[in-house]
Amino acid sequence: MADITMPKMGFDMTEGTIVRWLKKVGDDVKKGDAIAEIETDKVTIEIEAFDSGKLTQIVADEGTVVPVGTPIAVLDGPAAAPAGTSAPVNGATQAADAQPPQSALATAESDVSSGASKPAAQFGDMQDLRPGYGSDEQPEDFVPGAPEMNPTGSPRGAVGDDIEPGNIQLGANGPVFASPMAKRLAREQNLQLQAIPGTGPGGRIVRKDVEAFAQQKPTAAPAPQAAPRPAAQPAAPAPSAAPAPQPAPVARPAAAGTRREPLSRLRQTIARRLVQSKGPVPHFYVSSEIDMGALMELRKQLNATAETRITVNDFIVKAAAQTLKQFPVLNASYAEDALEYHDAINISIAVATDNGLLAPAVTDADKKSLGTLSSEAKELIERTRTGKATPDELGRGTFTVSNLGMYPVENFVAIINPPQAAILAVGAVREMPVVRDGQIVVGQIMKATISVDHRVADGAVAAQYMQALKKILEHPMLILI
Amino acid sequence: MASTPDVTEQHAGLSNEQLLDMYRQMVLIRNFEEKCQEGYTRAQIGGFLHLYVGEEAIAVGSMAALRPEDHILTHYRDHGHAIARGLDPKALMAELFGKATGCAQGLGGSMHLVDVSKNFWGGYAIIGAHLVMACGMGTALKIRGDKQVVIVYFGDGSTNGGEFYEAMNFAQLGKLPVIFMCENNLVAMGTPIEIHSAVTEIYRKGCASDVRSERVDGNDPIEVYEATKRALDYALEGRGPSLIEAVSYRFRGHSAQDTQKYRTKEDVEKHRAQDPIVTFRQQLLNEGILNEDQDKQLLHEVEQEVAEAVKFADESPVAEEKWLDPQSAYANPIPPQA
Amino acid sequence: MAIMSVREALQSALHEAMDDQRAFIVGEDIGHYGSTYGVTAGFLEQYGPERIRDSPIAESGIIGIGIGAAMLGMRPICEIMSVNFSLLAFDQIINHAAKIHYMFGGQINVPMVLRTTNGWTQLSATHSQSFDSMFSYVPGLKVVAPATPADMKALFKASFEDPDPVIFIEHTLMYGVKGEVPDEPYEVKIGESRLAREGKDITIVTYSRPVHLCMAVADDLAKEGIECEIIDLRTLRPMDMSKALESFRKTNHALVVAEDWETHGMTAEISAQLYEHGFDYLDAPIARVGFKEVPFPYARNLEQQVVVTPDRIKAAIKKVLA
Repeated sequence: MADITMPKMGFDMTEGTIVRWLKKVGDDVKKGDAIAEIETDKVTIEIEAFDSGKLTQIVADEGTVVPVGTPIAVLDGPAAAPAGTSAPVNGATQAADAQPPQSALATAESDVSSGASKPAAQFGDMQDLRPGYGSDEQPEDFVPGAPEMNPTGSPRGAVGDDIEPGNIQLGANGPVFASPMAKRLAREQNLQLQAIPGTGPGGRIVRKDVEAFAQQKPTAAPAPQAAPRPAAQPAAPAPSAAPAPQPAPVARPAAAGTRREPLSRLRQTIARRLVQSKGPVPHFYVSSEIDMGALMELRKQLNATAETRITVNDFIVKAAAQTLKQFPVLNASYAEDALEYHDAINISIAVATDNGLLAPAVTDADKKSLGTLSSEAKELIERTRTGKATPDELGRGTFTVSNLGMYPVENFVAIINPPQAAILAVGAVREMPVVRDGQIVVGQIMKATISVDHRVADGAVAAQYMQALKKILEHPMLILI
Repeated sequence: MASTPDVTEQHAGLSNEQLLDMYRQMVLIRNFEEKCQEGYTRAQIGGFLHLYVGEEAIAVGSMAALRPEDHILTHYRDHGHAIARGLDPKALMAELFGKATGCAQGLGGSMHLVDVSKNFWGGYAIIGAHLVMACGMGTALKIRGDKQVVIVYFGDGSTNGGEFYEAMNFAQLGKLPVIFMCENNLVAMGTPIEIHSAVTEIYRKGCASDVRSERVDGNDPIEVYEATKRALDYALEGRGPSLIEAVSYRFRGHSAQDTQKYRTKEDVEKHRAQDPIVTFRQQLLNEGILNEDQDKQLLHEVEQEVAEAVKFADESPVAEEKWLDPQSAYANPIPPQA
Repeated sequence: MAIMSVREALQSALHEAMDDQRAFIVGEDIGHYGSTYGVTAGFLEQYGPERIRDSPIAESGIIGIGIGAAMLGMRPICEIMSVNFSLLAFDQIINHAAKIHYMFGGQINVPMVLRTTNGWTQLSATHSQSFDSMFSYVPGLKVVAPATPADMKALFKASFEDPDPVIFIEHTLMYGVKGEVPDEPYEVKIGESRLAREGKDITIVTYSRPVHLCMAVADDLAKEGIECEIIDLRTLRPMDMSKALESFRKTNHALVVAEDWETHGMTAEISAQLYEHGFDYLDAPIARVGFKEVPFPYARNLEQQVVVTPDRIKAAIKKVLA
């Protein structure tokens, strides 16, 4: 007799939804058989049996959301794992966790020459696939059977009967327990529950925790749409220079003529991650104008002969990666008491899917040839758009290129995708007058802006990076060597 | 005919008009209930439908002895009592149809017919419960010194439960003006009397509280009338309660879905020969109080009246939804505050 | 202001009621015996046997007498000596007293009061119960359970004058409780709760005898700096939760105390209403203290642990505020 538990399909996965059972109670299951389809924040994926036997019980019905490590079915049979190997779920978990904890970012595929660009895979900003970033949490590997920690470090199992579904809020790192009153206060004062230490039973955040936090950290200015506070509440904390966190959405009935569509899991994730980024991460921005004339000419020549069609974005990704080698601090992560420098340079590429933004990453973009990178990126984008990207592909990026070049976008700035340290936003290549050799000629100008986590790096580094990037892009032969 | 019989003396002081009216009521009850059965099979009437067919003489005979100021409590087989007391067949049929115009506005149905304006205090459907309530009414009358009586109808099946004995005791202790009218139709729901009661002559059970008791032929309206009159006078004299056992027979099942496995068709046919309406009609014809033409005319009128009641019930609006307000259960609504 | 015991307040209320010639009292041992709890002592002599009716031990009959008389316009006061005996009259109470007004389309009223007692003192399993929630469950009944002499008197008057059947719940251990009762006429309406004590830290919602226990505990805890706010519901149906909710929105913590078995009963209903209407103000799970869920044991050491005690109330408060 063995429990089949909700597998962890990515290091950041905390829960999954049972989409469909592929086996029913009473079915014989062979090791390796697909038994169910589950949906994570990012993908829908089949899970396989790690043992053979008879499926005797389905614990989690279709449509239910199940925390990782929680039993979803029971398999009866010769279930014991071979001696010396870890339990099935462990195995799967380890495989996923073996990947460096890096994040995926969005990318852009730009093709200025073909005005009719695909509306699909082209946009900026990012989506973090790693939980806990921006909170006090260290990411931890999930160990099945071990108590999961809540934000204050109390073992979740110890909360016991105080766990109530109404009190569970999916936080950055698993459930955040907060009383309804605490949630209400936090909502009214635009405070993020994840940041508030809970002192109630089992680490629950209670009213006095929110009040203490609001007093001690008077950073949040009330957003205009915040609900009016009862008169008895303390006065609003004074606004400060720190950016106001995004207000949590307040459920309200749709007005006449307005359609309410519940957030998809992906949209919820995007919303959560972006708030986690824009709130605690101090962004700063450095912009440059880059003359892309030479690059556009080179690309034209290459595409005339090469087997794969290389996009402008391929050049940008490659150039960004190549430049990063000189600036390892921009290929790093902020981890509270340390900076984590990543050996690999994995550049995330954004893919618009019907459900929302996904950001698979091309690995070792600095080392790969432009052609290899281009074909890999193309294939990766295609698989992402059809929902086949793996959690690992979506979670391994270390830097993001965000490209809205296929739209008439002159310039934009992007939100960093935690735990990455920087994101490069590029606009369209546009014909503009430039001075070249003392003459005013028509140049092909692209504006690029890097957003950097100021906790990781300072302005000068960003400026130097942009200078180097500009140099490479304006001398594209450097990309080819 | 050479001589006109002295009907007044022969019939316990009831005039020919009264006798004809009693006959008419019995026919009306029978006809009304035939239409109830029809309405039930057509699903115009729901719930339980307990028919009184065969027992009409008891309700009609006893009610004839009561005065408007006297009070009536009855059981769930209450169509006969309601009609005999003069409740409007239209309001009764509308109640069975669950309509707003019903005598209880569609809230009670067949088992809970009511009309307080006629001191008809309703049909009750928990066996024996209304016997003690009759003592409460008797207590009120006694304390106030009102010269009124309460009559409470119940079946043989009610006499085995505790409340029958509680009620007899209370009534006798307080010398309450209560007439206990037991309609012994020889069966308690589906259990024959020999099986459900150690004493099958119900009137003998009155001795437990020393209550004045008698047994009459429940198929003879005049005999029932006389017994009721005796009990009424006894009560008005302040001497206390009486128990009357009126023996009759229920031609139909306990309720509309009764398969009647507990008795044979032959049994039923044997009793049908003593159908109180057939017998009474023959008596009235024999005595020249009724003739065939009158009878046809009377039957025609009754059929018309019942047809009108059905039409009224059918066309009436359904029960009002104001009765879904929780406060409608109270005479003095106090909405809870939250 | 006179200081009266609950017993004296009730006597006073009953005498006032008997001034109404429609009133009569029926119950066991109320007259010749002199009343088990002394409430109607002397009444037989004063009002005579027609209006002070010693009943046989026949609870169904007692209530039936009340219902029938009430239907004819009397104002009967039925006494069921112990609420445990009311089970024998549940058909009369629930199938009839509660239903007659509605079932007959509003034609008939049943203006009766059923006085009965909760309570326990080593009386074992069948004589120590309370059925507050069972009465309160039934549409058509009103249920009143006052705690103080003043409320006893005023709410009895309100119950007596009400045209609906009212279950008036007293407590055998509360007849000696003393308190101020105004000399001048005053009114307490059915369905109005009372703020018994002000405090900011926790809302205690209770009624009947536990009100006094909670007050004592609150005095104790005030020394530790815990300020309890106590709401005395007074009426269980219709239940006025407005003050309790107002308090709960302030304190965000609640304890519900009732002499009723702990689950499926009064505390369940009260908690549910607090959750339902106060969810966004909830800072900790609501706790409840009621009877431990066993039939009542005879042995004193066991009984003491089944009933609601100050210690249990105190522990529950501490748990809620933890």
